[in-house]
Amino acid sequence: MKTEYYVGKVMKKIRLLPKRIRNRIKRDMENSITDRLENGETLQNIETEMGIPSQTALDILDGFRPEFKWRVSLLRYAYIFCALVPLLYILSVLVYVFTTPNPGGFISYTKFFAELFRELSAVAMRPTIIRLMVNFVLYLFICAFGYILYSQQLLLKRNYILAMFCLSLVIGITLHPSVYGVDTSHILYNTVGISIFGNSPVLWGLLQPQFFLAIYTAIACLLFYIRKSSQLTTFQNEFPE
Amino acid sequence: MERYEQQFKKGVLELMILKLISVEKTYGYDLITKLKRNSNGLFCLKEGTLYPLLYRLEGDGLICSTEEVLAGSNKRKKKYYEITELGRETLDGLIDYWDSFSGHVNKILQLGD
Repeated sequence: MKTEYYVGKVMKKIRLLPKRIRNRIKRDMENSITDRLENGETLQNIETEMGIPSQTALDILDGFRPEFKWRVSLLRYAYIFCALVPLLYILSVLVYVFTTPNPGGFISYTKFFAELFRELSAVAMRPTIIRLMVNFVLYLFICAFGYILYSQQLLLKRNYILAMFCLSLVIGITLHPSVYGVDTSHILYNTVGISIFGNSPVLWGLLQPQFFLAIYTAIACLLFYIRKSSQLTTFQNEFPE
Repeated sequence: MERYEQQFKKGVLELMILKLISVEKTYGYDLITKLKRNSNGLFCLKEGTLYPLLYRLEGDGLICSTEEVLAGSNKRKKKYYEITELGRETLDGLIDYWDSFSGHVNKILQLGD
């Protein structure tokens, strides 16, 4: 093991910490290894004493966690709840569409898939089912963003958070029934037989769970981004080079 | 068992580091060796744990660092830490608290003996 190799390995693992802190850690670590060498320790012994690079990196990240740990527990649970609602909703609508005779012209999903793969034009003819599938995939993306956001906030670069914000916003807009979201009004109307939307389907569309989740995620990303930016600025001011 | 031991150690780390720095101006590796030596190997602190702690103490204004160029070692710069006035006051307060804390804990542990 060489000093540069060890330090390089650690630096790679903590690359998402602010640059000023990384530079400082790098210098301190190099100094420490040099001190150990001057003190008669061997390189192999140093790795045993200091721990393997990945463990050292984890210790460093863990040590900085209090500065970056935000109170997200409540928000995390709220997010899980908001994510489960559209899942139940989408799954129940999928079951409805696949099992109700003739909602999109098919008797069963078996026949649907058979016709889908036999004749491409079937895709265009059966928008509800295709919409649901696209909605479901987009929903999974949103859930993935939410998971990353609430579990990896320390490791996330601000640019990644910003990218997730943009994507969530685009997906959110796509999931609105006026664009490509599942048209709840028709499905519920057909199922229940009553209209609860009055004359404002656009407004109702705002309350649809999968759309709501996407917008929730976008707002959360934006807030995390702003918070991380301000926190890093404060942190860097506290530890100038 | 080990998890609880780790929690104990974590809780007093700042106090001990602050105390060691208050004795004399020192640097990272020196702190690690002093801590290990004076605790008979109980506190084997690693660099990965020490640096964030030192940066936090510095950020709180309890210690300050200065870089010194070492003679005869390729002009290598070494960072030395020393305690500030605020750090000394905090340390005194923490030591008082520790005395009271350990006293009360011992009192509870002796219940029923």
